[in-house]
Amino acid sequence: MKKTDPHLYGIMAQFDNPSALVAAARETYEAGYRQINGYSPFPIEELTEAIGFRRTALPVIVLIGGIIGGLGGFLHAVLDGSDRLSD
Amino acid sequence: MLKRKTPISWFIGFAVSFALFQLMLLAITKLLFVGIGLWGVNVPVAWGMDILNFVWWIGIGHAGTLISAILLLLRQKWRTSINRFAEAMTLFAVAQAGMYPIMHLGRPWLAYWLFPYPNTMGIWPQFRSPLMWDVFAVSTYATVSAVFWFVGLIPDFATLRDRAKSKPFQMIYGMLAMGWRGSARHWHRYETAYLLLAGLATPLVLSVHTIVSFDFAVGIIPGWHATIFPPYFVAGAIYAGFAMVLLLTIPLRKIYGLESFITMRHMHNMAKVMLATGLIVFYGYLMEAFFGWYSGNHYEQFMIWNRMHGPYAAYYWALIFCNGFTPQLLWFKKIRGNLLFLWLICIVVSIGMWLERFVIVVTSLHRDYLPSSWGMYQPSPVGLVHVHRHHRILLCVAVSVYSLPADDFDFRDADDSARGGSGRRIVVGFVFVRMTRDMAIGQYHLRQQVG
Repeated sequence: MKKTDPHLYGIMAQFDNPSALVAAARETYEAGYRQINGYSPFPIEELTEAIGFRRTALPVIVLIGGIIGGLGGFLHAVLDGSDRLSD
Repeated sequence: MLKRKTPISWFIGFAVSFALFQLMLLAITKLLFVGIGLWGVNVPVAWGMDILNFVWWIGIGHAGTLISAILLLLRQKWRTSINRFAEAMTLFAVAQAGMYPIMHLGRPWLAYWLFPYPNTMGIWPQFRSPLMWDVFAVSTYATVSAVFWFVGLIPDFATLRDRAKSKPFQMIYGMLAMGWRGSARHWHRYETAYLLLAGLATPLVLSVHTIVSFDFAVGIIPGWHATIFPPYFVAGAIYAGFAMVLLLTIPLRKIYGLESFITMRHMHNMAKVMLATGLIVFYGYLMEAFFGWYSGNHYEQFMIWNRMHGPYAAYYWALIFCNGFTPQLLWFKKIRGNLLFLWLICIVVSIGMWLERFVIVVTSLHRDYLPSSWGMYQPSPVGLVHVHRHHRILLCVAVSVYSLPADDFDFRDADDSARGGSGRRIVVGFVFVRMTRDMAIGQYHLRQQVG
């Protein structure tokens, strides 16, 4: 990296083992950086916390999808499975 | 990443399976032209090999889901060497099973009528029928299993993409990998999604086979109308499924040299699950016999007597041997540890589970309440050939997309990351060779006597 380079988008660092990676991530977070990401070939739980990634909306989305699907299917079977309009 | 040259045995297996597959296509074509009378289904036994094979295959699929989903939720680490393979087996088993409900329709080209779509006839399917519940249950099961399998494979597709030598493969794997970069965010979402899917798939194992058991339990004839069917069928499914997983794992492990990866501990654990579920199944048989007698109901008592002494008695006693006696061998560590013996036991168990469905379907139908309606079930000589086709299995080839990660979660291995991080991911080319089990038992000496 040249000192004269005006556009520094980010820094990447490579580590030899997961503990070093997680420690570095924590320090980065504590130093105030928020746009952090960590990459690994296998999941490292502490890394996710260290970079400050707390929540994913996934479980809520799945729940809502499940409720809609369940209700929808059930209502369909009940309502269309029998005569609603009398002759 | 270990990649090996495709062994010659793969090509041989592929050739044989492909030939059988062509035979199956021929049989299906004949069936579509002639009708299901070809299978020998008639009155009174209006359901035969078709429903039998359907139930058999769905049951087998359940073991795959159990290994992937249920063992995951129970944090059983020993699942990881076999789970991806088991999930793939489930998908193929469900694909097999799905063919039967369609082919056994009188007019299979109208199979789409089974789905509730707004139509000009102004009708909906019969939601009160367990066969309709099957449609929804099995479709859900197939969808969830496929999604579960695929989501689990995403990081592995990414590895394959990164290691791809040619542009087309890079693109194909790239699309399948869906932009996976190994980011901590990705891993978090991946784990969440995987757990959610496992949580969805687990009740499915129980509910799908329960619904399948309702195909019979909701009926009124003796031998079918039994409340024990849901747990009995689910246990039987897992039993048959583990037998199939072992049946496939034992030779594949040898051929591909995976012994240190799929260890003897895994074999023992799978055998123990087989023993446990086999015991539940045997309990089911004992209870059926007991209910038959204890009920004091003339028809129930006859049903049990007929199973034991009637024209299909050989099947019943073969069943007791295969499913009652044979799993007892698995109590012994030496036997579980002897892979050849274990493999033979698995064949016996597979046959036994098929016989169980045969006994349930045929013996109850062929002699129910009215003696004037009694008859025998026998596929016609031509039909015999076709019946064998129909429990012949589709050729399923999973070539080099197959990945068996050493550990899905909690993988912390310093050596591993020193080696570049993906040392333990193994990509193996598999062929699923599903050979027919020729159910020649008793087929040749059954004669149809209708009316």
